[in-house]
Amino acid sequence: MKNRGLSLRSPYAIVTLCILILYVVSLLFPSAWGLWTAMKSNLDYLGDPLGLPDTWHFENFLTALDNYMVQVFKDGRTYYFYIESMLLFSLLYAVGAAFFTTFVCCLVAYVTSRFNFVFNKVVYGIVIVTMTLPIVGSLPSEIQMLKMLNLYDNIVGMWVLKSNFLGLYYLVFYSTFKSLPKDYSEAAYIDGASNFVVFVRIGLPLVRNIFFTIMLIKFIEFWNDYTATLTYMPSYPTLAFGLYEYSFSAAPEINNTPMRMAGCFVLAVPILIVFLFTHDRMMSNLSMGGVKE
Amino acid sequence: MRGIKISQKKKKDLIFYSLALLYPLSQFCIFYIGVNFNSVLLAFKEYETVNSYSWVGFENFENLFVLFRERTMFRVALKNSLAAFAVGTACGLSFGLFFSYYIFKRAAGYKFFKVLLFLPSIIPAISLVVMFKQFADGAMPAILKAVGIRTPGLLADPDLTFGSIIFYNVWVSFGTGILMYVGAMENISTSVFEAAKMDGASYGVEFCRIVLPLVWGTFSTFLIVNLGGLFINQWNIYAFYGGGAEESVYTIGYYLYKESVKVNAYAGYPQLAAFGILLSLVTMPIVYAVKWACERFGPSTER
Repeated sequence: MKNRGLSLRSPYAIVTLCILILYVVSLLFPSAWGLWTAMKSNLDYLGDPLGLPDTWHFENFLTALDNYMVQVFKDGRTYYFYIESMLLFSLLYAVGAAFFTTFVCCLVAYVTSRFNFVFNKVVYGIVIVTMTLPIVGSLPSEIQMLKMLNLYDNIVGMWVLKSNFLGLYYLVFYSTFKSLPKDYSEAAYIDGASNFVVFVRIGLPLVRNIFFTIMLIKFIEFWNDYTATLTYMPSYPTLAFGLYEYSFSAAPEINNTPMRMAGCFVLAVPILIVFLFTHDRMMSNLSMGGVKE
Repeated sequence: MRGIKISQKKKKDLIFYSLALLYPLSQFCIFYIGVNFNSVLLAFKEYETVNSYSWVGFENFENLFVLFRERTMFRVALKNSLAAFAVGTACGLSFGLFFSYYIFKRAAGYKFFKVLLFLPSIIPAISLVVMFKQFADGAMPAILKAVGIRTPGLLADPDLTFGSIIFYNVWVSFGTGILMYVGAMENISTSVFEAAKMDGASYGVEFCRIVLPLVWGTFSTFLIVNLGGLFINQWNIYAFYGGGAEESVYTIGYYLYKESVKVNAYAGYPQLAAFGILLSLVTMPIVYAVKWACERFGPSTER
């Protein structure tokens, strides 16, 4: 590990360190407060909103899980979805959408960087222009289009909607493929491999680290997305949407601060566990030049 | 013979290339070009019955100007959007850059800070908003009371509500930016830093003369993307209040989103589409002017 030698004698380092410490405190103290508040009784909380619990109510998390419920009105009937169904919908939506969007980005970047066709410039131009073109208010039209194509209110529809090649990650894949030597693929072509085989057996393995990093980032983005249910698939409530409903619920068992906090941790913990095991990969320095391990 | 082989290879390449792009380009044509084209058409229509719209020319645009004159909510939302953009972008981008330089220089505790700065990006926004809401209105009044300040809560006090929301958005915004900035800084050749060190350059000089010009591309991309989201970003207000926010905290992005997802929203789609077109027409020249200015006047290593 190279030491770039920013010593704490530098005023810049001292000021930045102080701001960073303040930031960390502002992040960790509310989190710790939230965690112990989640284990308080409401009476205990009302008596002392800041202090540690008199009695630790671990059962609050179970009560929160029991009350994770979303009502859906469809075709004149009411359906109730509990945590198991929401977990399934979250997994289907997040894994599927993350995979398809990453795969499409990777595929388009592969063909536009490895094959020499004039149309490559058009595709690259589309990505750059759409990144900077501010289009406001197209959501109603998008919902109309999904309804017209029978893709509204279903998970496959969400996979289709999300599987585009626009945005930053196309550029990451593009510059990575551009920077990779063509020796392996040329050797494979001489051995008679088809373009498809070269892409699957050589192209994809060469970028598998970047592929999984981007897929992981997209997975977390979709897992945390409470608006997907609200906007596009009202009959498939995800866990994030479950927490959104939970946070506004007027049910007496959960309409208080400790129970709100307990619900909040129920959703955050799985993603924190994923982060614990994958933070090195997720936080590798993603740049337009690819991922630096 | 060789010529035929080359053309066959080219033909196979073209077939693979076309098949590979078939789905992505169809998806783009439908969900980008098609959606935006439909949005333009929708702006000139009026809702009649379910799935039925009729042409009304510029009526939706005329109504918008009347609404803008008569309803203060639009002016409040515009003011809030501009304020949130200005404060959020200035604080988010500049602090992000300073923190990134600190992490890049591997100063004390840089790994720990990098993880902590990234953490809010992976925690569900709705979890963080719930925690922030409860802390701001539950714990903060008790903390401030201990130092002699009485307040019903940071969100409950109308004078502090929108400021607290902007603070929240900046507070959780550093993650991706820091990864990208540090990635850009890592791409700078070490020999440049060594040469600067030999010339006796201080950290301030190194930051302003070397780092800033060389990460300016990343910085200006974030600036332009943020500017493009000026009227799209709802600043998490839906997560804070659902569809029931007070008008004093409305932003344009929140208004557009709330109206698009409410029950029986389809009657209002044409009006929203017209509003979207007007806002796009306002934002587009600003975005491209800023982009041009960043390229033209941005810091350079040559100056």
